[in-house]
Amino acid sequence: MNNININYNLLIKYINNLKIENEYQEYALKILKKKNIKNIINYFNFNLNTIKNNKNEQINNLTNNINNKIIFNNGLYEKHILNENIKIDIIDIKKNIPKKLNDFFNINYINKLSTIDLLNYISIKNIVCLKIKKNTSIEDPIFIIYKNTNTKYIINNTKNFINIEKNIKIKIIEIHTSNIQKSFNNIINHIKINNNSKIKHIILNNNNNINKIKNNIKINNNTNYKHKYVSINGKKTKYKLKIKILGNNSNVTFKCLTILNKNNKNNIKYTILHKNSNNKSNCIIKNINKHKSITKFNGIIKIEKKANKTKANLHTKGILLSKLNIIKYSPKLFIKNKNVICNHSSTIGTFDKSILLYMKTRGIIKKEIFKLLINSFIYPITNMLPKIIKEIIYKNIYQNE
Amino acid sequence: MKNILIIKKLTVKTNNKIILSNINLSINKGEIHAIMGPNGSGKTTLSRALVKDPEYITEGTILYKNEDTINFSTEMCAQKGIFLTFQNPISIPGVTNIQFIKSSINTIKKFKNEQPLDIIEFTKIIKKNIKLLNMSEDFLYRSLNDGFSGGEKKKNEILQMLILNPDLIILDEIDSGLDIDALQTISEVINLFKTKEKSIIIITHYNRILNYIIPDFIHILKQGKIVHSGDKNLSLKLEKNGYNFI
Repeated sequence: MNNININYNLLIKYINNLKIENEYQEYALKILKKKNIKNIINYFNFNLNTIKNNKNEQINNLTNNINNKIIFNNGLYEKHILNENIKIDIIDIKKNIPKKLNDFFNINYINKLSTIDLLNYISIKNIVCLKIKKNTSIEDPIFIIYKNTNTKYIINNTKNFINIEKNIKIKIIEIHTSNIQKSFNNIINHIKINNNSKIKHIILNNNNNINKIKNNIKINNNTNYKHKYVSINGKKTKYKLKIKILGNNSNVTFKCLTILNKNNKNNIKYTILHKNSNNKSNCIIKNINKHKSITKFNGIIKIEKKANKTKANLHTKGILLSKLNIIKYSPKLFIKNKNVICNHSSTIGTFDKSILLYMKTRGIIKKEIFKLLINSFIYPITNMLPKIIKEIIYKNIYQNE
Repeated sequence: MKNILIIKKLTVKTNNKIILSNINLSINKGEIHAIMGPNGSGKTTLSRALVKDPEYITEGTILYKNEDTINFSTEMCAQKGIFLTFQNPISIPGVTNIQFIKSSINTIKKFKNEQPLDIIEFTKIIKKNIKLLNMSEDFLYRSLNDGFSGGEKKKNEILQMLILNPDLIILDEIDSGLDIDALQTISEVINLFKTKEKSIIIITHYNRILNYIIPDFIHILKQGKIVHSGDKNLSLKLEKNGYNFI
């Protein structure tokens, strides 16, 4: 209870000290205050000791030579280096709100927001808008790096808009990291992808704090969107991916890998809407839980009446490495069209005894066996990841053994 | 020390069922023993008991190089030089053959307080042995036994044996699923590998492999007991008359 009280006071102090920048934030604050703010408290119920580590140095070393990057520090935009085909606007929301953001600055939108999303809404000072010019293929990935360096307890709220125009081929890599264990990160991305594009979107969560990461993606025609989410830390992480396929003939893949230890909790929510015809979606979730960690996954596939010839899959596979950890899967399919192929599968268990025996008969010790098997389990997700991400994963994956 | 393995009054149970009872067997260094028997006679159980598979509960004594194996774990058996080839080698997608073998050899070297092999030494050794078995180097970079044919899996078991260089080798139905050419190759390699210091237990249903690897002794296992022992001529009698003649 002590922890909750401390954190509740912190949150109230945080909200009361916020500078409200415009009438929409003022309205959102009123709504937030009407809601039960204690809904947010669960996010803050954690040990407030600051523990430093060298993760930011690791990231700095790895990202020094990157051509395209946008860096956020403690929730605020810090700097960027970008290719000429990528236009970036840092919008100060005190000033006139540009037309392209009208959807987000209206009362109807605010009324739909959850408590945590309202907190994000009233806290943001700047919005980063990225626009990728049409008919471009950008070889070097665009890195978006979120880091926490502040040693005081901090709440970080970030909101980004990414508008990807027609005929574009790009790779976006987001890295969430921290050198302290004392923050709450509340990050929301809105991504709009226009026709005929090929997008690879990779998110690495290596931030051992409390995180809420939300991605709202809208996809139009003939687009190939591949999304990978890898979480190898995170005291308490909520990851939401909401994809709406609005056009036809698009293909979406979501691959997710989480490796949790100690008392970490991870909650993943995936919702995909197939609005029109000939679209495909494939979701593969892999989770490894150690110690007393908990993973929950909610997957929802929605297929609308007009969505003829949809193909949608949802597969989850969890490995429990102790008797004290929990994995819960909840796949749901809402199908309103008969002309579709849809399937899902879920398995949760430990490593096969016959495999363990075989490896032991070759003299390999238990610790090494688990390393090899974890590598084999994660391989389908990690094999195509960029080297820089792989390095971070493998440097951190076994640190808590 | 003449003996490499002494089994005294061995009883093996699994799921509260006795599979083997009162097994006595003594194997000297440099000897080849064949264990033959009909299906379900307990041949594989014996091999699993020798490598301390935790699924099997044993009573009696197993001495390996005069040391009681009562407190050995499966991995310790391998580290001390007992090697079992599996009847159905396990596939592990995602773990490459080369990763697996390197991990295995270096764990064993660490146990023996030896320096681990660096990549150059390791590659040199593995390439030399892979040639002996007429295997392609591609095998090394494929997932362990994943998508391998029956023969390829068995060759891979022998490759591991060559690299790990054990003293007691238990070949559990190494001949099953092999065509004549592969059987010949594997047998030639095993004969080359065998020295006066190394002993082999061949578990098989058929006489076929014993034409290539000549055993010093043959033991017949029936209903969980060794019912008959003899020299290599015993296999010919079995081939002619079946197990019922005993």
